[in-house]
Amino acid sequence: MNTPLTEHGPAFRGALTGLLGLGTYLPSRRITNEMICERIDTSDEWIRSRSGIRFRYWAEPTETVEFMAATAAERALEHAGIAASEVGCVIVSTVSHLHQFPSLAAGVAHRIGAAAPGAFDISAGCAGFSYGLSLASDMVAAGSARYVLVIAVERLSELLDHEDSGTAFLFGDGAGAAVVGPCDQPGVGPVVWGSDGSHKETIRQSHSWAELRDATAPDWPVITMDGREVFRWAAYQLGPIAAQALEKAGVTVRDLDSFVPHQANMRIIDELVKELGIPDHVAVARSVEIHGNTSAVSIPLAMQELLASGRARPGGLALLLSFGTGLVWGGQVVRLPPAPAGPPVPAATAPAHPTKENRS
Amino acid sequence: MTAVQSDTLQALKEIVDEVAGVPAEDITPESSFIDDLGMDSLTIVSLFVLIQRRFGTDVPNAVFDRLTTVGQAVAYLEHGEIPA
Repeated sequence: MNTPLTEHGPAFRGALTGLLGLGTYLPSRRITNEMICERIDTSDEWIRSRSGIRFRYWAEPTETVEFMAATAAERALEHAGIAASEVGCVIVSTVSHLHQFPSLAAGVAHRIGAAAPGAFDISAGCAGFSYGLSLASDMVAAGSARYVLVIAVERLSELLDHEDSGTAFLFGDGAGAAVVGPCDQPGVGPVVWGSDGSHKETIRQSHSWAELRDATAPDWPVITMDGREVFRWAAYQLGPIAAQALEKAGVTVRDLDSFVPHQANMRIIDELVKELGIPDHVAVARSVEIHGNTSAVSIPLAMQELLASGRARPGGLALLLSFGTGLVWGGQVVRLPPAPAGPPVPAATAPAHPTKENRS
Repeated sequence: MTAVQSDTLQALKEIVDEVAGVPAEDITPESSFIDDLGMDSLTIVSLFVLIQRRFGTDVPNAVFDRLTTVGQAVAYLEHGEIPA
């Protein structure tokens, strides 16, 4: 499926697996900075200078996590030319599926008509796509599954404190999926991942669901984040993690076609580009501007955006780099999938009626 | 001002120029990071990250919150104490 990349091919070390197709879902409700500013005392200009974000999309009630995840998955399968019945495992990364059990993955697998694949959810916050991709690639390489669907989905709008000027503007909803399968050339480099639980308070759910049981129940839990601490952590730690991912894959920044960091904040992306010395010929994902921070969804959305714009080349090498609540991080070099039919486009309308299946 | 102080100040001016785009000639020891140099809290983090890389001095958040001017940061880097 992949375009051979002869000039860099031999140097790139990775599993004989690859991203065969991509699919995404952007929900129907476009939220501008002006709309956010109705609830917090700030301005469009401040939000843009602070984060680079101009707008984000939030899900309507019928755009549930299961609906968005399944739609993105179906699009990824179509792009890869793989039937749902061929999928051996479904991995869903999410922190906004509000059921402790069953997993979202089992419901998504059923909904897309997969034939009883392995299915489970992972919790790695914004690093979830890198984590899931690593699991998927290892499964394919080991022969545990021929094709694996890696899906990231978030409805973070549901977990926002709309009056918190540090987070209300930051997050967006959506879903992104990739089909991972066998390839005759290396397509997924070794993951560099890790965690540092000493920072577990830095980005977190404000309080446990258990507290809602108490007589003096607190409000609905929301995302709480020490943005400056996250920025500081990212500024110190992400550069060396990226360098390690490149080294493990046997390539340098000069070999890259594109750089796809988690779309957390434009300021972090700009710092990374400077620190890593990303050359001008490398396409840098900056879709945080038009999608907001969509957690683990941001990397598939950004890859599709870059490929559809023609700035990234199918078969080119991309450095993926992500970090999030935990704190956890993950990064790897991958060979980009074939060009998608177009960029991520928000849904024209939400599904009309909530069904039993699409209640989250 | 001793040569050592002047080196630290000069290096700090270069870093401020890099993170905030303020030319060195517009920066004095009295310049306030926020009020005079137009830096926000994230830019100040970037400033101290570059200071760490260049001087090897890790300045914790609680300390740099109290270093509000260029001169105070120079004094901290040279003497390891927050000026009164």
